[in-house]
Amino acid sequence: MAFRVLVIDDSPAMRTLIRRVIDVSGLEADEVFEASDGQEALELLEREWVDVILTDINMPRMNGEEFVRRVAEAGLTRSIPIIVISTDGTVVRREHLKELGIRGYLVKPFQPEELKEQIEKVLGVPDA
Amino acid sequence: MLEIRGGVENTGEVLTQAAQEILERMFFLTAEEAAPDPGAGVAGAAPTLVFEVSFHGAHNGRLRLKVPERCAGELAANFLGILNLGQLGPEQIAEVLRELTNMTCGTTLSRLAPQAVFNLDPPVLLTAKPDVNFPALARRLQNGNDCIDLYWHWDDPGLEGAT
Repeated sequence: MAFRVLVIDDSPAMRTLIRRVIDVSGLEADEVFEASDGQEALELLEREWVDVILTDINMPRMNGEEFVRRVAEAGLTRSIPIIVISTDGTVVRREHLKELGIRGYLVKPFQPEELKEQIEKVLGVPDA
Repeated sequence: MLEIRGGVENTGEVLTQAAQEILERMFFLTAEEAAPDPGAGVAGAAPTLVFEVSFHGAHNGRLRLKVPERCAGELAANFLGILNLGQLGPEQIAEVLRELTNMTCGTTLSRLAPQAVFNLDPPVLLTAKPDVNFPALARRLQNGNDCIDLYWHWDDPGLEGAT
């Protein structure tokens, strides 16, 4: 199943790692877009369609929580699943983001298989 | 003020476990706990890189991470899946170590205070010679001849027992 994914993280190293995990996991990503914060991601979404968004929380300019809120306000969280990837595993943050409509939450450090499973799950891949 | 799970004296153990788990899962490196840096500061004889991240929220504080330059290159190569260390530039290495610092701090906070909300500043590479009197809880992880030193400091006066 081919798909287009947007990776949002202010760390170029983490974006590279996620791109590599997607590459080696066997997931057939047609295109992997990158943004370094929520604002850049919103601008990208104005001109590109993606099937799934992977976002960090702690970022300068616009953090992941604000980004999810903006996407939810635009009514896009039902059509574009969002998976949060963060070191922040606190209950309060998870619950708040779930209320905003995120579909997955992956806490760093994670195993490559965990990211693959989350992506397959939100994309509705059979047997995921 | 929110309670620290297991008490503030639990900080060192949680910090060590978080760092070991991150190194193992994302950097493919096994590190054993060793006796802390006897200098208790961050100035070392061998060339090292020192990174710092500050956090704010239910509690405030900082984490510093000191890594020998040679070990930093190896960590970056493992993280990025690069076989040839020569392909890595200093900025790439610094980016990976910033992420390691960020993950270690965030994971530690999440485990110490899962009911709290924290915000982390972007980690920075300390270019000036770090102060050796930085009051901190020190932990050391060892892999072969390389040591990764961690220094945790709570700004909150009520938590100073951990430093």
